[in-house]
Amino acid sequence: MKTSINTNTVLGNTGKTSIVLPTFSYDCPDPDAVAFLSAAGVTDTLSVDAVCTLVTDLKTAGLWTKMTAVYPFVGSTPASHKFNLINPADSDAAKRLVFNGGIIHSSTGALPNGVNGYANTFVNSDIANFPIPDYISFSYYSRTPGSHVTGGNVIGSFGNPATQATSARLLIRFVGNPNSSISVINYPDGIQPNASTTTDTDGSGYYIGTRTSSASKLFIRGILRGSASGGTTTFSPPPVDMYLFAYNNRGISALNFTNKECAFAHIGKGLSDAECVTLSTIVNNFQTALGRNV
Amino acid sequence: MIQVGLLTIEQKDQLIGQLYAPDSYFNPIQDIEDNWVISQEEMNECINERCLWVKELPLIPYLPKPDPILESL
Repeated sequence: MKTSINTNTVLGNTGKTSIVLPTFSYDCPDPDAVAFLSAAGVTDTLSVDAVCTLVTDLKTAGLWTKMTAVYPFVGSTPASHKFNLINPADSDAAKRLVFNGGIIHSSTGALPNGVNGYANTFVNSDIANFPIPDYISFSYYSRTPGSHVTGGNVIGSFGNPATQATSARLLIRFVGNPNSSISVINYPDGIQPNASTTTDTDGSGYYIGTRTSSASKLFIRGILRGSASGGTTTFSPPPVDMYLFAYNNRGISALNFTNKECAFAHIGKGLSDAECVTLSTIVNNFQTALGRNV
Repeated sequence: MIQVGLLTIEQKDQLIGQLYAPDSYFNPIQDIEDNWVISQEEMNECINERCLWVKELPLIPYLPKPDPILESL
């Protein structure tokens, strides 16, 4: 049974008068879920229940503490989509999104235009923030099937154009290779960074890129679709903020925009195979609860 | 073919750092011919009174700059 938590705020407690603001009372036992829902101004029962279950599931699976940022995209405006579930404060330090360029927001997610729409996550992919042996992972729930005519980078950062070094990026059926998706994560540990599919004929669903001590991997819809190991790589993930709907080109500009609608994204520590499968199940259940799974 | 709004350099400078709607910033970019452009979404959704002139921008076909990094993957 769920417990009702009253989030009323008491102001002006000067010893003379206390003013109680009327606010929404959430039927959810998890204070982190309630904090996020309150910040995002989301009050409909469907979304409240879905977010509450999402947080509970992430915590039960031991994934909550591995996440730096989680963007559930509930509500239907940039004001509700911008908040980080892990820390729902409205600040850069809390990794709340800042939207730039053309993006349409609705109850099914954020739809970038593939021309100039992107969001800054303020999650810096520097190796100091995502050190070995934890590494890094990121994900994107795409509601848009098909290949890209232009662009195709759904999340990421990039450091060196001459060598392709220092990348942390996820690309879905991208221009130049429209039947392939790829996760590129550099670390100076001798593991090849490019985990790619050779045949991705969808383009929608839940994509996870992750690094572990033994391999770089790409999961699609909960299934391991690409893996790379061995090699001579000596580069690190780039020391710039990661962008959603594009990649951050050395802190200079956003490049390689996507037009795939996003219904969930995360950045966090590297995940094991079992954790990727579990996260895929949790996110798919979340989308199903909201009636927007694909 | 996607159409975008064509900006002068002065107009581009005016839009940098400006919101076109709550929590949504303009993002002028350059196309393959180095024209400064913004998207039709920014033009149509703009409610910033100081920038309503973007609704009158001329439209041109959008041809993106190639991404040298992407093409070598």
